[in-house]
Amino acid sequence: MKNSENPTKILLAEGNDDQHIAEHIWHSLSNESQLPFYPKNTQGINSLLSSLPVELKNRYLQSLGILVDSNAHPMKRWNKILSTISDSIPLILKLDQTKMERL
Amino acid sequence: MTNGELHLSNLLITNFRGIRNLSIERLGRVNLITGLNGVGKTTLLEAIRVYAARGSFEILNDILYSRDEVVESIDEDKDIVLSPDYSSLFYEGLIHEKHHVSIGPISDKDSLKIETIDFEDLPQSKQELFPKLTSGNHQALKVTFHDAEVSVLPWLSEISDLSVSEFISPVPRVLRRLSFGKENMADPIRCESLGPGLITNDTLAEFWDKIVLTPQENLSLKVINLTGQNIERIAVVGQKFSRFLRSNGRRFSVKIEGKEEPVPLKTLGDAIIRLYAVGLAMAVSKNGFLLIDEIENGIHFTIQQDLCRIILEAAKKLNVQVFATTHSIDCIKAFSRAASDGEESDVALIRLEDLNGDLRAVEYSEEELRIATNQHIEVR
Repeated sequence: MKNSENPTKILLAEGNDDQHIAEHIWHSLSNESQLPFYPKNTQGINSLLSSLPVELKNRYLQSLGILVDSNAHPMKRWNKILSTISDSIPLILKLDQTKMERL
Repeated sequence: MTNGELHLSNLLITNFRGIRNLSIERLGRVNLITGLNGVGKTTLLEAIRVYAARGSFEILNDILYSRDEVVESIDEDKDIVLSPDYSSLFYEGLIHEKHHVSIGPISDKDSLKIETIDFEDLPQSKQELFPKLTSGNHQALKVTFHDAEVSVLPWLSEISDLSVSEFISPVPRVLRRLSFGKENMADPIRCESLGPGLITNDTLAEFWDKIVLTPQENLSLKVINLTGQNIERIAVVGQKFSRFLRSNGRRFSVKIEGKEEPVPLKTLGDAIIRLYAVGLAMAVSKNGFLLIDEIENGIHFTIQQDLCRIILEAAKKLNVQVFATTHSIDCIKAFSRAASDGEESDVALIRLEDLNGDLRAVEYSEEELRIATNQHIEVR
């Protein structure tokens, strides 16, 4: 992102590895050296979850990506993220639980 | 209000100047107000000022005069006089019953209400208090606080319009001053304001008069010495400005440690004056509100955190509720870090945003502000 002072597209990564994976995937798919998003290493799932409602209040935010380690309980983690988001914004897409389970 | 309780723990403003409706769910002891230029930050401060003064005409007039919101009228000597344009107090200048101004806590809607009434609708006994108006059904401005009528003032802008007619009804001087009421008047809450510009000696002297030789005097010294000046004492010299005396008005002199002679405060730079003003204003706002427009002005970021810490401590100790507008991320971070260092500081940040022509408040708690500071999240 050119304007890292005030990024509009942000990728929240749970840890250092996650951030580098995202950057690596981008560079392997694109010739553009500039990332189209601003990666942020939140240094842990807890700080990612606590910063999520604050990120969502950023008036300049256009897109927010979240990259977390699913560990052994992907559904549990997904639901935690969903509930964190839905607590902070009133309108949220109701995702079909069954589709998630198939994933 | 018991000591230590916030004067306003939340706020609802309706139809006041540029604000149609604004609700702030939670206010802190120190509230930082951000938002784009012209969004309504200063109007929010004005609303608090009006609420604190229980809608006194002195404050309403002061707000309107300071923004040049005046209308021209003609007095009985055919001199042009300026009167406050009260329609500017109402959202989009709309003045009918549905659009009364309301300012107060969310749960106590209409605690302060400003509305227009037809003069003829006043009880006869009150109409008689005014000299007979020249002609027509003139409007009056009525302010109530908790259903206790505070005061009524004739609405002068209705009486004459210079551009329309040569036959202007003169506004008698007595009318320009008249208001009545103040029955069951609730005590106003002390409220001091600091504008964004350089503070005049007169303003500083007014503050100084209120705190000199009180325990709060040390607070202003503490703040002024944040720049490392080692100022030992500050005194006001000179006489009040008078056209009959050869006087520059009252001015400030400071005694710096290790120096024999006092030096004028103004020689120490604008930042020092601003800091001194913040310290004095904080001290005089005891048990009241302190409103600071663009708090960071002229103050280097390296001392902002210490300044914020002193403000947080003093706000709690002196029971002051502070509202400060800012554009500076350094200032926001400084408050956040100072709050993390202290105990129970209770800082909130409110960003005002225009949403399809309406104003809305995006609110950050102290914890959210801490997260935003640590994770470099934009809050302005």
